[in-house]
Amino acid sequence: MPDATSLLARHFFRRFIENDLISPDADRHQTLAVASACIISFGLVVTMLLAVKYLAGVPIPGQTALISLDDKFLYIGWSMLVMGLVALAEWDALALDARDASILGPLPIPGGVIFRAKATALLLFAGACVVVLNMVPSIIFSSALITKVVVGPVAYLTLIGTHAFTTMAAGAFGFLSVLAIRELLHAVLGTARFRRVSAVLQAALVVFCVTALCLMPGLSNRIGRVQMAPERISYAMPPLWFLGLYETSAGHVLDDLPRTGVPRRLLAAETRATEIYRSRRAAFHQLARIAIGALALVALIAGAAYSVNNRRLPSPISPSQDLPHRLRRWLMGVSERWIVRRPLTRAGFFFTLQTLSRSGAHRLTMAIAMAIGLAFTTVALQGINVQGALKTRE
Amino acid sequence: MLEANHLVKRFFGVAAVDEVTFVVRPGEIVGYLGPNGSGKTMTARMLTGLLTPTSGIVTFNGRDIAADMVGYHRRLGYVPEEPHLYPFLSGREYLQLIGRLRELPAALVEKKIDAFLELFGIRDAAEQSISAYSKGMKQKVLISAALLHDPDVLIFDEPESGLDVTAVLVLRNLVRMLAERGKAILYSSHIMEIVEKVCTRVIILHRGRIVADDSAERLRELRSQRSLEQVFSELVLRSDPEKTARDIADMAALHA
Repeated sequence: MPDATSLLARHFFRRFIENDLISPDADRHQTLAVASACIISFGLVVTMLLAVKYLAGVPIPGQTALISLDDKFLYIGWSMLVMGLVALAEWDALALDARDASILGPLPIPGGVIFRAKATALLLFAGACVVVLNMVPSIIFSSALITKVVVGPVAYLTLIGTHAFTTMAAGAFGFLSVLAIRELLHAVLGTARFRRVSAVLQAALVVFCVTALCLMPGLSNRIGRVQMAPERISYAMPPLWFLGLYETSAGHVLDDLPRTGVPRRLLAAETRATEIYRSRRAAFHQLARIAIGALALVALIAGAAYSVNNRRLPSPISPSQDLPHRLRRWLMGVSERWIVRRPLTRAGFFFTLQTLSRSGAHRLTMAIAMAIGLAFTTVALQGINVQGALKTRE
Repeated sequence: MLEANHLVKRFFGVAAVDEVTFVVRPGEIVGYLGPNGSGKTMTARMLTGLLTPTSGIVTFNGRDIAADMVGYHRRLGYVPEEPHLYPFLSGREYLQLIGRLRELPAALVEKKIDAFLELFGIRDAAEQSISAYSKGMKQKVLISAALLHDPDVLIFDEPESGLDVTAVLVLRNLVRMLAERGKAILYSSHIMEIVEKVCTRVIILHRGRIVADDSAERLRELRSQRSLEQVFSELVLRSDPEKTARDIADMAALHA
């Protein structure tokens, strides 16, 4: 018979999959299959699109090393943000809740066992997600990188391993960052206050992650040439940290290749690309150190805050999450007077508002819609040449 | 023997449970009565160890339950007021989980689960997810889960909630039989009739304090009332129920 820790860990793991937000009515095998297929096929399609430029042409290791920085940045950023979104989708299930307390509290199981099981399930779930998300692209992208050059099996495996490791580390950073923010705020505010701000915080983080996800292709443009130039480099951009880690671990595989097969017409460009790439090496090392430090720090904060908040089962009493009575009445009064005057319309209006604010699934959908809107607006605004338009008018 | 000693639970300085002391002996069914918000559920949660009292202790066989909570929980069966269950599990899976977590032999668990599901009339729904269950069905699963390990102490917090008439009758007889087999039972309820017929002793709680603790018969005699309902009304109800009913009807008739 399995012990209580593994039994509960399995139970909690299943709870992550059968989250109300993800699959209110679906069969769990179906949910798992569909979710995995979506993630894998998305990664596959993106990888195939990105890989095209490496499949055509001639062996140009310097340029390949330089332009591949854009794609690596994209993979790292996506892994980070998608894993952040995974944590946000599981927001309420991340920690032990009042239901766990009501059901497991009267059972003869020490609190430490319940905590260990929950933490194990959380790690397994995050681990499974990050592997599913990054494994296939790691193999295909790394294979595409070396289609026109000759590398040994060790170098090839180094490329695959490094891609897998750094994108997974970035994913872990994204997941742990959300967990750290949640648990740290919970520890600082206390359970009652945290429950009041939890929904708003979740929605705000979803808006941030989805917006960043949509803007990622634009952000990843000319990373090596422009964004990592010594005068422009920003050490405050987390995907860059992990890009530094990537290049520190496997950048030499392409860069060390002999330039013997490079056609004469491309030699100057190849030499220039190699110079640029090599001039970024110092930054790669520094970024790699930041990546390791940041990952360790966020893991430490998340782990410590999670342990503090979940060392004991929460109270089975759920405090109210409503707005303060007076404020609610005032808002309702304003709405009734100025927005919805007919009783039937009013009923529908308040039902919608209350459902949107209290249902996790609706909250998440709204936040995603808002984030996509925000991303499109940002992209559109970037495309507007305001100064040019004003000059034309003058 | 389960003992509550001067239990107090305060929230923001306000006592939800105030100096509650009583004993539940083996073979005894103690009815725990009180209006909404009187502190019944709070007391039940303190007795199960789910809530820590602000002051006072709960002892089981003379030992503070906090000293060996796991050991106490091995001998406790609890049916909570709210049917908190994992909605993604089926009724059978939920009971299997509880049985395994209680480290009961697998064959015994399966045998008991089959029997309970059959006896409570929910066998057909055993493989359905609990999210599709009615409140009564959830309650039956909770009662089964509380009995799975043959506990010595049982705490029922409004267990009849959502049950149909037949199930309530079964429950009433079940509680009586469990007491005959030496279980110590605390039965918290709103339904006077059940408490009056089933319980060997009745505790009436009002605003967190015990206002009566005796057998239903003695309480009736002492208060010169014909039923426990009248005793309860006298001790707990501060307003005239007829007047309150009239006020509600008047409010319902209000059109503008």
